[in-house]
Amino acid sequence: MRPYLVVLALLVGGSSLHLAAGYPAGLTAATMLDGSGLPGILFWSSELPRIAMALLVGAALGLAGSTMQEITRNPLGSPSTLGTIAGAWLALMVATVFWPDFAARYGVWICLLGGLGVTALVLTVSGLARMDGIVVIVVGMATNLFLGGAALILALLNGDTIQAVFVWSAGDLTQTGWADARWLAPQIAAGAILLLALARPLSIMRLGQDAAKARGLAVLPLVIALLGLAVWLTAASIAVVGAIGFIGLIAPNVIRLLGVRAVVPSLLLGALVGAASLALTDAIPVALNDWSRTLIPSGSSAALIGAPVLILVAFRQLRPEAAGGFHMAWGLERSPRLLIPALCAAALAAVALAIGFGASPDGPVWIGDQSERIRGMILALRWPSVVAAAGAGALLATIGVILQRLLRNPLASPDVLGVTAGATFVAVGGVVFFGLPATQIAIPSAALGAFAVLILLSFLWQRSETPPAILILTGIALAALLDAMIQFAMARAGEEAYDLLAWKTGATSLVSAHGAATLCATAIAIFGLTFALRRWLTLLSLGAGMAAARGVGVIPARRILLALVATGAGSVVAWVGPISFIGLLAPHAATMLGARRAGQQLVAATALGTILLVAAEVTGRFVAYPNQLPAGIVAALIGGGYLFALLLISIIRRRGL
Amino acid sequence: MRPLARRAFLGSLLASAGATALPATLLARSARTITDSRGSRAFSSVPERVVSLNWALTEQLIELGVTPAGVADPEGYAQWVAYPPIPKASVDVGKRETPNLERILGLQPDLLLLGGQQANYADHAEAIAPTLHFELFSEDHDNEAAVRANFLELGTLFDRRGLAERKLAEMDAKLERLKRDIADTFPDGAPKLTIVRFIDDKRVVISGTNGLPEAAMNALGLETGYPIENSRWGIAFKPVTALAEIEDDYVMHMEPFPKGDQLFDTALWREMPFVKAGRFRTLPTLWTYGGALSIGRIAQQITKALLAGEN
Repeated sequence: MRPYLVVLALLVGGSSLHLAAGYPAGLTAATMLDGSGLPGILFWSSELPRIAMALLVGAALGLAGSTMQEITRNPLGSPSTLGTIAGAWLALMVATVFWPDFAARYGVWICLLGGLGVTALVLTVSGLARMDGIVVIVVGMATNLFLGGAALILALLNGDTIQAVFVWSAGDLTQTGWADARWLAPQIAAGAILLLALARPLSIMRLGQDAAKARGLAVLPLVIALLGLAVWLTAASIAVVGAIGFIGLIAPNVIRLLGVRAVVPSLLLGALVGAASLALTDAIPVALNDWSRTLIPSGSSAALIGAPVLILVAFRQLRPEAAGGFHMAWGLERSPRLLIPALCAAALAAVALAIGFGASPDGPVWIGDQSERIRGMILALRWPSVVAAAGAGALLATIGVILQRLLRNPLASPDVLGVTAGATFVAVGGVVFFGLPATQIAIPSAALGAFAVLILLSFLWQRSETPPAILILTGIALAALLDAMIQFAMARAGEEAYDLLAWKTGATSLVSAHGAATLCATAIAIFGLTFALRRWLTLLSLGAGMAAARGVGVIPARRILLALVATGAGSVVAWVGPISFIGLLAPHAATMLGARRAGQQLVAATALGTILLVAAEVTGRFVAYPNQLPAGIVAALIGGGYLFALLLISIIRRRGL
Repeated sequence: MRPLARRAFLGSLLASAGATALPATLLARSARTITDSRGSRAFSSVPERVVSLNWALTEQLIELGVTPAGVADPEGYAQWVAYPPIPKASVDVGKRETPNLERILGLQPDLLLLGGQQANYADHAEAIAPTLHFELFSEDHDNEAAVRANFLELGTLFDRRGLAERKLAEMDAKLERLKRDIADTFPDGAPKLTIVRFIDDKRVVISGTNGLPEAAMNALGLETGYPIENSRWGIAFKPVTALAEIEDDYVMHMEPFPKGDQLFDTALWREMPFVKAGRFRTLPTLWTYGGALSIGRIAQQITKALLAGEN
């Protein structure tokens, strides 16, 4: 009985707080019942539908998240981690840019299609047998990054038409009538009833898919139907209010915290907790509405509250094996003899070619063919971007290797752990909230942000030997929290956000010659230090006990390596902006090529990181000429596509197709 | 003799003074000194090939009859700024936030104009050509004064100071006329007015303190019905319900607003005091972060909309 009472109290409390926050000024009991006059209308057709929408959307997302976690047996499964929201968002962006009238009218159906398509893709690629592991989350993240990069390119190339989509992307529950709630209620009611009716056999699936099959359960059709319904609930919700993602991840974890185990009650309670938490968090923007100069997105406030709760849940609930046991290491057993020299030569060649070739209205031009008068000037403009790209790529790859070895987790990377988000948040916050000049404070503030996140992480780590999986989950929660705050900052800034947009996408063209040289020198120094300390990496990746037995001071070694990571991440964010993916991808690609020893992996990954970001820089020059695409976005597109392809190949090979 | 001698002496003194002073003034005229956000800078001749990376500056240039060699995002300009149109001869040099520096270099400009959005590119631009960097919009200054001063400054630079002054004077005279028209139509004092731009059917940008619409309204003797804090662009971003705070004054929104039907059909909208009183108006596409003459264009449309309802 206790869980039901707690959830009921949450629901009533959340709704009451929302009501108190949004109660129109000058509304008396008499005029409220009468419903006439402006305060009455505001109450009946703005505040009440807003509460209704919070409850509806929260319930839908909570139910969808619970269902996804139940099916995948994965505490990280949710509409946001499985790509549903990213798919819906990109579909709507594309429609808004190319067919604005169509998008204004049929946005909901576009979202539905995008969400369904991408979720189906993520789950198909990862394969039904591997949904409980972290593979499906990696595929989801790769997809998110890929689609997010594409959406950002659209935003950059289309400036102001995209303004509405920006607010929407953070999620806002403002209502001007009952139309949305009236549209959404039957969709969610139908979806929820169907879902709960189908849910009972899920308890058999808890025995494992094989056992369920042995008992005559048609696993595949059931999973497809349930996931379809969950995606339906999500897409319908975010189509009308925007991408409020955290609720779906948080609700099922709260339910587990409350000790509910049976399938149907936990789904039902998941919906109620979702509803309660969204009503509760949405009271914040409502209460601050008069006080603040600009709109506060509901989604950001949900993440603001949701992320700390998720971290708490992770520490109390998640057992080490829950998200562990994931190995991406496959591919060559040993590297070809010439691999390392070849990669180093390729990296140098990539830098030289990137400096030599430029784009023109007639296609690529070699620097030698330019008129002598401007040749020197072109070189002076071009080399800093290329060198900065090379330096940033190398740095991210180096610190990616450190993190993956240190945390013994192939998912560890500066962006996944929230280090990049921390650096970005402090830099953006300084500009938006304190009006500090972006160029002068970027470096110290970004390094500060990266350090703060790493100190927090290593503090969590030292206490009680936190398992790597929980550290990763904490990082994801932290990154989500910081991302919400960045979005909040950008939304507050309004038009000023466009100043930050270019930098936030990893624009190597912004860097000065001095900055490029500094970044490159930092990369070389950090690489050199890390290479000198490669014995630590080797031993620490075998476990703290093993390392200590071999005479490594584990705590100081970790501190030194984390300091290198923070310096590296801070430098990259400060000079060229937050660039995701390379820190995750390069170390992994190096391992795949057979570079398994720490020193080998470090050199190969650094060379690969350099090549990848320089290639992104060059690609960005050509594809939308005369417009320039920031290297960071192109890198996310290339990297996302690459990782996606790798996973696809790996799955095909494993199935022996 | 004495007065004569004195006169001659004075005369020669004047002449010698003139002889030394004359070349100095000539020199000062040919070397114009322009002040931008980083200080002053001397130009010995009129720039011939200008690249503008900022829409407001592009607007000012075209108003002065200067055809820029290159402009940033002409497509977006056509959609949002609309008037005055960019001459066909001007080359697209990429987006405002990520200009294509190599293409700009290829145009061999002798002057680059940067706005607030391109502050990050100031050093790169300086390496290509002499650069002027104007922060037209800022929380810390009067935006109207800034765009007016910039228009005159550009007039000086391009040897069109007279034209700039004349256009501003014409605009001020027009503003004066429009103000009288409004005063005639509303002898008991004009109603308050709020200018908004809808983002979609639920969110709205309200123009206010330090915005160009406010400058236009001041010139017309109008007051805002929704006071907001001073800000860089003179705007506040609010849910549509915030408009309910506006008493029965006028509210005008700027095109384009594709989701209009979805908002205007709601009970909430019909209950808004200004809607009930029939004081809601639609303005054509207007750029509210533009150059000095934008103020006149905004004022013209406001007046047109205001008077259309009262006749």
